[in-house]
Amino acid sequence: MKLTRKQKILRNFLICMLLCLGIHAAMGFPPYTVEGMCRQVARDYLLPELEPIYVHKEKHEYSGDIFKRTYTYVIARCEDYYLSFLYDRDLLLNEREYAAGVEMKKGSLCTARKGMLYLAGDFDAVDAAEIVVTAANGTDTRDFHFAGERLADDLFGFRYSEGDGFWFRLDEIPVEEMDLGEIAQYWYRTPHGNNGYSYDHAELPVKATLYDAAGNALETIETSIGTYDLHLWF
Amino acid sequence: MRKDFYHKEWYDWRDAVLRYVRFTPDHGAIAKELFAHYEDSVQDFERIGYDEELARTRALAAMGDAVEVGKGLDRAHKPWLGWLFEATKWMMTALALILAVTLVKDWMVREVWYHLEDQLKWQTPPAAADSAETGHGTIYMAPGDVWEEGGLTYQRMDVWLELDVPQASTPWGPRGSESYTTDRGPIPHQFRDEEGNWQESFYYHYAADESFYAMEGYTRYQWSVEFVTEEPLRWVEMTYPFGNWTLRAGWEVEE
Repeated sequence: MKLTRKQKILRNFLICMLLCLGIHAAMGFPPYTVEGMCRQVARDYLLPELEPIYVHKEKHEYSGDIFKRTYTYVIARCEDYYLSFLYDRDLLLNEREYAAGVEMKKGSLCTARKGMLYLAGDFDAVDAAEIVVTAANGTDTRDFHFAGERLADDLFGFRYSEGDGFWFRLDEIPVEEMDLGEIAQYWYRTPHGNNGYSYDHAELPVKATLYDAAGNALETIETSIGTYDLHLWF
Repeated sequence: MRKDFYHKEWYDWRDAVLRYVRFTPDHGAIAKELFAHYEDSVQDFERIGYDEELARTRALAAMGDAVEVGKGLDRAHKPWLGWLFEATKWMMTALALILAVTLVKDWMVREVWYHLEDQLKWQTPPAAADSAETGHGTIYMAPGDVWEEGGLTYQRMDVWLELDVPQASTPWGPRGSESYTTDRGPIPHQFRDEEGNWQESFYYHYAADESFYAMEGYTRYQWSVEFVTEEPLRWVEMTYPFGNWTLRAGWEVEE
């Protein structure tokens, strides 16, 4: 049977659709929208529907990359749980960044990435927030105070480092001038002779105070932040 | 010489036709088809006794008015349809190349093969398996083999997960965030004590013969959990912090 041109076009479109499906399957069905990413996390953890409360997208070009990578950082709410996760998109491939993991906590979530500490929770009546993060090195302790910046209804952000995540010259910076990101490296590392350092995981206590519009303290949340989260710089 | 002359007549007529056909990529095929008609016609005239010269003249006249034929062919070979057809061909080629690169890159073809193999090999859980709807699919649990080794009892429990939507990312939650309670109380995951020694009994671990999942398809997953105790367990319940469901598996234990 000889096909007409219209039939050939239809056939070609069908083949294209099959090829697209094949590419999508070969790549592991990557999600391309924030909603899709939320659905994938919900399926992976058998959760009800996630509601994204904060999305931060940024492009980054590594040497040798033909196309820029897109990082999508999402903080979402799922009933009374708060979650954070990061996706790394390289052209058509979009995978969850497993080094960042999916952080999930009931009630409130304290997490960090690229110099910003995030505190998510039910903050409807909250107007402002402050936190104190305590780092310790033996008997030496340091409290870091940060005022919150409202990023979304349920989210405050606290800038703890203005650096770029490359803490090569920690030994040249006086300890009293180090920011939280630098301290989280400097005090929580083990030297291995000439082979550099390994970095230790520790949970640093975080005390958050929430204020209403009149400046009255509403609530104090005691939580913690991992040093690995504070190192997270991609 | 004469033959060339008649060919020239033919080429002039053909070029006049093609001037009216706007979709140029089809010109070659149209010219070929018209020439075949023309040659057939020449042969027909020769068959009934015309000499070649006259046969060619008549055959060319029988082909019709070049302007009319050209306009008719232009209607049949609409440029937008032609370009759309060309575009679909390029699209197919590009997609086939992307698929090939995707499959070859990072040995993705092997991943696809493993997923497909597990998807197809996965067997429906036994009818006696306890099950729960999770909102994303169904999870099943059934008691497996029981054996003794080194004075300890090993009880294997099999879990199946069938998702509604295909995905190749691993469902980390139900294999890692779950907890188990037995007829003798909650049972922990195998751990090291303060001296760094492994707990000797009353713990569970994921079956040692599996890397993560025994089977990891696109929608179908299966794994096993082994309970290591001194006395056999009668039952085990699995609970999951993010779902309102509990699964139970029981073993018949001799008194």
